[in-house]
Amino acid sequence: MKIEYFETRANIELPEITKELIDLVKDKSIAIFSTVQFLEQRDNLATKLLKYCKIVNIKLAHCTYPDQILGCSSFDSEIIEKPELFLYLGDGVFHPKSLLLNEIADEVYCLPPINLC
Amino acid sequence: MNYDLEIFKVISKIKENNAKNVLLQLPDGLKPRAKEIVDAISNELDVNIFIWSGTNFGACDIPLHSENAGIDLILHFGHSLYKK
Repeated sequence: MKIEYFETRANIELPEITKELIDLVKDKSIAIFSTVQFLEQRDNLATKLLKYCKIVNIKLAHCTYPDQILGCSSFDSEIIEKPELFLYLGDGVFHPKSLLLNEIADEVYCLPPINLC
Repeated sequence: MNYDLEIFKVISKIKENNAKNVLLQLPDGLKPRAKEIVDAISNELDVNIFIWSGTNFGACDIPLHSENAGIDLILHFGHSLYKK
């Protein structure tokens, strides 16, 4: 039996970044994770934040793409730099909770696209 | 929220696999759009389409035992391939 995967990417455009977000990330090293649906928006967000902070790209175990997050995410052995701040762009809290449960992060800031758009 | 259901790819993959019994597996957020996918497939192909009403927590959550019911292709929505 064959299995085919369809990533069902989101067709949305995020609004401009807010002052609150800039203040949160300013001068920090940050990681921005998202589910596969919002990876394009995640990259756009990272590009916009680049002038305010350092973006750390991380590939988590079992993921197809860098900066993608799963419900069972854990660090790959290749991780050499742990960011100071973790952001999650996506729906719900199922995925970011994996960062806490696997002790990757102590806290994660969630940016739900449905609230941002 | 507007998600791309990749209908063209769905139909291509069914043809490519020469599947006759197809199982759609959608996460809860996309289950309301199952009929849209069924209609699109039915308009193009003569295949039996089933909808998995159980969980879809990730690409590791595949109803493999559906093969016993004659399913020859699972169309899994919402996740990318699970890397070991």
